Amino acid sequence: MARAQTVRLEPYTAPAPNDNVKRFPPSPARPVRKVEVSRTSAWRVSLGDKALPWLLPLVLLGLWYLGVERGWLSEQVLPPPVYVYQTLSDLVTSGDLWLNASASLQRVVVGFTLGALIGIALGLAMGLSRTLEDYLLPTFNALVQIPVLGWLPFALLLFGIGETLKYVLIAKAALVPITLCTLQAFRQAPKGLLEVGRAYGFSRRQSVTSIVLPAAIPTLFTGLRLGFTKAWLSLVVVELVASSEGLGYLIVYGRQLFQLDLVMAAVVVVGALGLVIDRGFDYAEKRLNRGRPTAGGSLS
Amino acid sequence: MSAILSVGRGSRRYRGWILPIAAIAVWWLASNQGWSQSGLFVSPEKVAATAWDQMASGKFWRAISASLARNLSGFFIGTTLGLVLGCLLGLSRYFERLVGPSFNTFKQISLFAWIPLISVWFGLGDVAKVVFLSLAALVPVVVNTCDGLRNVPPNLLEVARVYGFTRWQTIIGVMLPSALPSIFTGLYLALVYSWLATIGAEYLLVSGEGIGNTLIDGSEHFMMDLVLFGMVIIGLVGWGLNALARTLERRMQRLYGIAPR
Amino acid sequence: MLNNGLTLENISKRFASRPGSSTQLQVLDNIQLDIAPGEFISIVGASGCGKSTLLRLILGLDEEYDGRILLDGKPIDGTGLERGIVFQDHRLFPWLNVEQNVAVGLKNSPLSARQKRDTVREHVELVGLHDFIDAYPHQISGGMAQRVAIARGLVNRPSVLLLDEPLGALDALTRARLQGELQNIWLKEKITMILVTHDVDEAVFLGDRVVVMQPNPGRIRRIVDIDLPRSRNRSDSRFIALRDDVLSDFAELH
Repeated sequence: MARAQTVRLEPYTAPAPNDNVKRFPPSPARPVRKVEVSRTSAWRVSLGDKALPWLLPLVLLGLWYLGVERGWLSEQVLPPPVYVYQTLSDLVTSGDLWLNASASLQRVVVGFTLGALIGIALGLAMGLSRTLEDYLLPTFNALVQIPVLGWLPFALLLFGIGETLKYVLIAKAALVPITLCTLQAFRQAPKGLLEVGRAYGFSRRQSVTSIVLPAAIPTLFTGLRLGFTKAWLSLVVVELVASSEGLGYLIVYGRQLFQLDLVMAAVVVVGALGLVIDRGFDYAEKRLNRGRPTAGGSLS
Repeated sequence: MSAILSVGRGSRRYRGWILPIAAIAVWWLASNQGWSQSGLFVSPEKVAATAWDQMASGKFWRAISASLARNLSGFFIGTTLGLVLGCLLGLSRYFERLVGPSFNTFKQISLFAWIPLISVWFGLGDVAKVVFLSLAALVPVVVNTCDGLRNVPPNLLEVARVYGFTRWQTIIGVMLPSALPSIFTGLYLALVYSWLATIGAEYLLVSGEGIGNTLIDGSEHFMMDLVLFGMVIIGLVGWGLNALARTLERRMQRLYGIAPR
Repeated sequence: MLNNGLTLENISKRFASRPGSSTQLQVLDNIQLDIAPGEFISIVGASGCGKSTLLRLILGLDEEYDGRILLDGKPIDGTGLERGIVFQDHRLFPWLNVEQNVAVGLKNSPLSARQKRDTVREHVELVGLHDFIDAYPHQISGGMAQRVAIARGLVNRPSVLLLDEPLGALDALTRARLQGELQNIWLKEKITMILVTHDVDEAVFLGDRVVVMQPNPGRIRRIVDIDLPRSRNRSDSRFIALRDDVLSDFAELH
């Protein structure tokens, strides 16, 4: 067997110390910041960390109180913090809060359910059938461009100021993200898994129920959550414009009577409810997504 | 998500027109044959006539320019302030602990709930509206800017350390470019939200001129044709803003090494 | 102690195994190594033996350790442009093209703008990417991106170039080709290189000496001299013998 010719190079030797290549000179000594975190200072840092977020609200609260005391602004423009608190507790004890809050919640739930049902049906239909999507989606997109607020006067003319108006508008608000997310959920069925289904002779119905549906659930949930957020937002707007009870109504009522304490109390309740709903969705999402890779946390 | 919103290719594209054309045809037929006696049921021709009248008489142009002017002022003010606030929150841990939680709580509250308070403090005029619009634009910009700056890949930050980047060089050369896609998302959302807020502000702070005022006028005087006209305009403007934002987004993606969709 | 070389003197490092807990992990234990100027050192070891940590200490990204690291007789102090690195993930800035990415290495160098441009071009040529000088990272393959990273590591002519499993993320064919290119670059630039890898083949192919490390705690098990001439042939019997010798260390550890 012929031996392959190997080219023998000169054995490698280390270059002489003064070769031609210019080396970058070592950087000048920089003051080294050795972070020495002792036990006690670490404790102090974490306490400061927890306390710091309260600084701003407390300062604002202090300014507010001072402003009222010193009479910098009239009571009608800025009521004393105590008034707001009193109004809030009055609302609770008199049952007015429950009355209005439940009216608002009822509207949002009914409207959302309506919008969700239609949205899921629409999204499902378009997601599973490309033909339907071709016919319906462009029109849907065009109608989506008009925000809920744009629909308001139209709906006002058609439905008057009654409950139907609110249900319709809230449903519309919820419908848009739910439809789009449902459509996306069913369109983005994992191809790899579907091929596995085909290899095992799944019927179309089996593919949909065993593969497409479970894979679609996270996106569906995102759609429902977005839909509810939008529904809640629209609720407030609609109640501000045209209602005779509800949290938005409280705000407008207080405004008209220049009772800003009432306005602020109602705003606080709206915010608190929104927070509770948000947290509720967070919790549900976490439970739903057990076992799936999660995205990083953020301010939103 | 914009991928699914794009219409199908080729001959399938025409299918999308069938529904709207059929709907308009039925509408015209209905008004022509007098299927409905309600005063609200206007014919397509009436809407077209109103549209023409609005535009020719200049009413439309005044209204839309007033709305857009407010929209743009609010957008610019809100975006500028939002960028500053977002950068502060994203770059300084101290600032983030100080202001972040309060801001988070504030942004939970539906923006429209603030309008009555704003109307007391700033009146019903343009000032109040622009304040409201600025707030609407500010929130998404702050959230997304802060997000983008906080989520710079630590790998790239290490490269900056290796090459002796000063803090300032790191911010300008690594953190901001890395955050740019996020910042753009924030700007896009600000554009959308401030337009929605413009309309809403015109309903709730009823004074002056604007396309929203036109709509409310129409509904108060039971003029369905005016309402329909206004709706179409709002939809068109919204679509236009969307298209503008999408082209900007695409240009940026090409620059950034994300394959254009 | 040699002039212009890198010396690791009794390097030790401990990590707390969990933040706040009292049990500590000895990541590196009394590492002692003298590296001659212009030498190519390969460090092999299984996961957890501390080889990447050692690189980070030499680089200056991590300053909490016992012992001293001396370059040219002087202790190192934080990061510095005289010590370059090529990471396993190329870490190119996605918003800059190839030329601009290489130029990042020169951001804080005292050269004039013209000198910077010339040396950037020179190094892009060195890694054979002249035709792609305007391309963005998403437009080039993984192997090419890694070559850009190598160019960036070399562009300010560091005294020492550290390579942290630079070819680990590439497919086998690209890896083999880039190993050859690395060798050629090293022959040309005559620069001290320290390569960390878990690929024994690669270590023996490229290194003048192979430092074998073992984990728990991270220690140098032994140092194998590879006195084969360049360019090396992977099928050569002496190469295979040396490689098997090094590999035998890992068989024992199971």
